[in-house]
Amino acid sequence: MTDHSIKHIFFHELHEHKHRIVLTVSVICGLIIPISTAKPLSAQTIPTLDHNFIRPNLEYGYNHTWGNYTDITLTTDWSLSQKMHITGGLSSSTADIHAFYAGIRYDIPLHFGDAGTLYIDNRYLLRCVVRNDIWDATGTLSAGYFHHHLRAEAGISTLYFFDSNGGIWEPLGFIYLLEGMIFKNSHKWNAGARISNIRPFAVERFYFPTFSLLGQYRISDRLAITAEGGVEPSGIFNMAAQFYSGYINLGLKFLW
Amino acid sequence: MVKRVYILLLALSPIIFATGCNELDFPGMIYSSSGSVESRFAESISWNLSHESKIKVSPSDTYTMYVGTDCHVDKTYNNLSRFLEEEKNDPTSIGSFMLGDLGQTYDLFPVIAEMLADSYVIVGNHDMYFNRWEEFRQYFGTSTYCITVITPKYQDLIIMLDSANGTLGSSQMKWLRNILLQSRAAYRHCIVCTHVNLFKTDNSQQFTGNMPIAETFELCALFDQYDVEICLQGHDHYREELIFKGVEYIDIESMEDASAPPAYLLLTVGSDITHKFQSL
Repeated sequence: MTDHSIKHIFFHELHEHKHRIVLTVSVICGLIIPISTAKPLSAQTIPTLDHNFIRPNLEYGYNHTWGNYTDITLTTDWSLSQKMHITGGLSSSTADIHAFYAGIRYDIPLHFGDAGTLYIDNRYLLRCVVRNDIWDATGTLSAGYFHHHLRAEAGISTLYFFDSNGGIWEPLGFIYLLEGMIFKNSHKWNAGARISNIRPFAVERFYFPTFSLLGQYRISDRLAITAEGGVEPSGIFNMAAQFYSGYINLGLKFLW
Repeated sequence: MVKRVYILLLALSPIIFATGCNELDFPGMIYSSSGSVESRFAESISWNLSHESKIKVSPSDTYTMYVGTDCHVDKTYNNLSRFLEEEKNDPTSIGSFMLGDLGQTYDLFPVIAEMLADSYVIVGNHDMYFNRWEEFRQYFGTSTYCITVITPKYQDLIIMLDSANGTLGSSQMKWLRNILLQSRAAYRHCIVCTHVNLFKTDNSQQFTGNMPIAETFELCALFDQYDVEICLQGHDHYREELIFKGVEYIDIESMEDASAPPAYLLLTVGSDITHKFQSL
């Protein structure tokens, strides 16, 4: 193949995919500009939940219903103001489940010492369970508290699942999250544990807690590697518990 | 230091007290003393293979089924006796079905087991406490099985499932899928019985858990795909009739002597399946 034909193919491909290239460059610039100009997280004094981040994740899991599966997810948290944040995420699983969530969180920093942050969180999760030809929509409203080593959250949820012929409404569920970390959020590396019935793309019935171990390593103020693993037993409140599912996931967190 | 030990003991006292209780198996919140559904399923299937298939012959194409659940026998068993007597007096009945939670304590279990010797029984979560599965197995042998009802013109399929741990587990789920795939077409009607209910539309049972949402969806899709007509459930002590994906899900209230009002379900199976609740 001559240099001329390679050049021809290159420019032809460039022309063919110009829209995709422009879009990719715009997205990258859109991320890099705020990241490079924003105030780093460690400069904050009151402990708050991480915000202004985008987090791609890869998860491998197993449960008795789907068997083995892999999830790819993208979650984000954008600050509209110091107190108001919008959250969202997309997920796609080899178990043929695709999900989207959007939410809003209102932080109430407690301005005495480093007393932490109270927050109110409202989320809407929509999942398309293709394997079962079922859609489900979940709404949650919760209140939480975050301090350097602790996060606690409790609230209510409502679930409606349906197909083209109608659906079933489970009007009231309870959600909870209790998380403890060894170090402060700004520490270079951190590890902790969590018990909760909520995960970004699943709001489980309240008697299905997931027990998780968490880890994070901050490469810089703006980039961290995250790792998480957990198990979910069934039948805890039946007093006949056994293993139901487990997962491990790895991700990157880009902060700005 | 001594003060701290006292505080710790005081904090742990409800748990220490609870572990001494003979009704609720609190260590079962960590791991069931009756093992996992996987091991029970293997034992049930092994029992099924070494015994004759459960076949019931009905002289008519229309017959009745008596379905009760959650009798939680403690010191008395009046409702259970009445339920079984009413079934025995119905010449159209093919049998009585008991969907788990037979005993609150198992002091009277040999008596209950004898009363239910001719019934079709599955385990509930209360039948798992303190390794009661061994006792259950001794009397009933299996908790995952099929019943074929043969009528002059048709045959119907009734599938009994072990859901006491709040999940069917992977092996039982595969078995259920295979049964429906291979056999469903040969039967007129298909009815599935499980102790744990699939939906959580109310909080009548407070913290008592049912299935994970993923498993609820999987079963709903499976029942729809293979034209299961009715899924009968217990556990919730709350009457509920729901239709989802063309399948009727009936949750039957408790038959416990102390419950108000106790009831059972009378199912009439003919060209269609109809049902009514009978108070006890």
